[in-house]
Amino acid sequence: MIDMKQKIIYHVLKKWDFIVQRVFYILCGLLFICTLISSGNVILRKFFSFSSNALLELQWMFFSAVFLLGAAQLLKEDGHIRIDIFYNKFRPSLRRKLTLCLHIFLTLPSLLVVFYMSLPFWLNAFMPLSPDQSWFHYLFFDQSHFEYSPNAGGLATPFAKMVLPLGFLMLIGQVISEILKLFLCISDD
Amino acid sequence: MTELLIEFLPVAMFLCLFALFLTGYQITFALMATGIIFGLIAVAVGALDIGVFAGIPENIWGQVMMNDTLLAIPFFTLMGLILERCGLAEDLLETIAKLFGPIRGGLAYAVILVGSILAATTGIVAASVMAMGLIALPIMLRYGYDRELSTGTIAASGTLAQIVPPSLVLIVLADQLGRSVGDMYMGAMLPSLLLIGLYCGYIFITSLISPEKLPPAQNSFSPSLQHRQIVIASLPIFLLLFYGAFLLFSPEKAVLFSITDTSYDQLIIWIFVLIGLIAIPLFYNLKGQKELSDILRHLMATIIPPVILIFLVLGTIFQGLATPTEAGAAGAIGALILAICKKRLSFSLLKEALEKTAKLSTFVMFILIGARIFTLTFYHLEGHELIESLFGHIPGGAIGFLIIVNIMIFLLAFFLDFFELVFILVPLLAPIATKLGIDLVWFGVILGLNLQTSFLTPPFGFSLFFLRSVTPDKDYTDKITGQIIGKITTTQIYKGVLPYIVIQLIMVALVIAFPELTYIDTAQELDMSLIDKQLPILPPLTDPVTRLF
Repeated sequence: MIDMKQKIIYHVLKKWDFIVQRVFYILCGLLFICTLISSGNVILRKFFSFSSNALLELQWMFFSAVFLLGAAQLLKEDGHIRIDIFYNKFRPSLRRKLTLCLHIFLTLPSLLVVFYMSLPFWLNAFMPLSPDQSWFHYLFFDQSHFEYSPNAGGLATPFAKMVLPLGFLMLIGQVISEILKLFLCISDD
Repeated sequence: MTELLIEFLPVAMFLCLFALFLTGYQITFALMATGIIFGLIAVAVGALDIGVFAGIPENIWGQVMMNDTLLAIPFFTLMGLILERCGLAEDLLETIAKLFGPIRGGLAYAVILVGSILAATTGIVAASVMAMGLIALPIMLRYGYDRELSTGTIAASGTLAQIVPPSLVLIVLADQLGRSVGDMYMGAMLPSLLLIGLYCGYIFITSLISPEKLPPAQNSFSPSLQHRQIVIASLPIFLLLFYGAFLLFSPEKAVLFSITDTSYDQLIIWIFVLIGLIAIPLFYNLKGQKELSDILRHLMATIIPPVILIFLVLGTIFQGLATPTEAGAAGAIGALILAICKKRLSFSLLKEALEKTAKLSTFVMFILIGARIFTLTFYHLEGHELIESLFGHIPGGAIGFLIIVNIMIFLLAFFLDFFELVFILVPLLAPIATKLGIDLVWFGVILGLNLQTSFLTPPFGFSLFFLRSVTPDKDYTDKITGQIIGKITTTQIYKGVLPYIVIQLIMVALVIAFPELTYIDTAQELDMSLIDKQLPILPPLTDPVTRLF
């Protein structure tokens, strides 16, 4: 019975890791496009006297998507930087228990707070829906209800603001996945 | 009781953060959790309103996501990684070591020169130190260079990437100090050139005092040519490149033909420089010295592309043609083109470089997000006033403040990476510095130099780890001469960097003593009469249509 449970958890964890990895590959592509846009901006401005606020905004919108959504992948690979003067000298089992405790009692609640706060922040970028509109129409046809960036010719912000809660949601998912992995490790010890 | 608790909260925050850092927990989460948990405690005791937390997404959106300055980080990293992967360091080292080797101390000069070029292009300390440790160190040991001197020179030259523009440290500092990256680069230009000069001076003095430490290497270009001949023939190339660099960094000197637009003048001069460069090997070819001509062409093929890239990136920033962010992106594309020209670009190279860039920028930006959340609570609990009162009473005014801050950062840098130091401490220190009348570019350059020094200081200096990881820890047989060469001990590396740490500290002291080195305008008052003159007199509006609006 316990084995069955563990198997299911393993399976779910594997699926989740796969999704995070795929998202990260997409982000790498996004980063490359971002580089192209940014260098394209210089060339357009210098040689064709053309500049567009939309293109300028696209740069940081893409980049913020990269680092907010990429944080989960970084956590998966244990890439977030730490000070390892003492950490390296701990026994692996102690290291695991310490990380598990801190993940559960510090990181998970604080990430939840940030996520909870960023949701209304994102939703406020949409103007309220009037009763005669359908959501579908609202999202895809009538974009006058979106909040726009204050720059002339700026882009609609809801899509950029979306990555904030989404990124933290992915991070929460990854922290839970790490916690489960550590539980499985510790129960194996 | 509650008031005492509230007074104590900011102190407790710092202590708690430090404790979490020492457990080796991920720094960004430590920052985030301290900020939020203490914020919740403050809400519970009634010191803060729960609405404070609504500031978190606003803050991340406005300060982190919309940040145009920090957008330069992924671009410069991508540029550096692509250049690293396409073997720029190896090519440069091989050629320049051959050219300089037969001079006394030449290999050390070559390491410093290559270190500076790499610093201005790849800007990655680990890559520079490791490449030079792998390629230059065996050559230096083969010719009997002093072990301490060689390892020290390699570690120090590789670390130049921290201060020579376009370095990431300066970008991050500029962002946190609220100054433009261009100003910061301009300010760091002269100090970093001086630093390179001091390094070379150290090698020169050593070669005078104890020449046995730096024996000249053999001429390895070609048996039939004398080394002197090659050096003389290649001298014009370097002179032309220096002239080009000089033009780029002081555009007002380019008015030679007095055509109305300076940029056309510069274009013409640049065309002349390029023609001159092409003409040199051609000249020797026509003279019948085919071998020499080939060597020169090879030399140019390795040196000129990175130099052009430096001009492209730094030049466009200094001349105001592009923002540092765009210049970084253009540099990344330039690096890509260079890799294509060298036929070393592959899909896997690009993919790896992009993945590494994405990861590096994620961890940097997430430290910033963590630091933002931490400082949000810290500011609301009025912790910054605590710090201000702490630093406000340092005797000696601005200089006293700078000395104390530098000592503090130097000590903290033993434990913390520069990103954490800059993101956590600099926002707290910058307002105090402004109050004391310290120019923030000056302050930033001093901090940059200081943080660079921390890369070299034993026992935790990163460069020393990087060098240690590529140096032989067992005796080995040299492939070419067949002689047995002893291992490098860690103590040798530590002793080797000591003179360079002294040089660094001298440089920090010099910049503190002479703020002019950072190009800041100490006294530039506005001439009101000039401004009056520049206002054009507008004709009265007569058109009825325009008057309406």
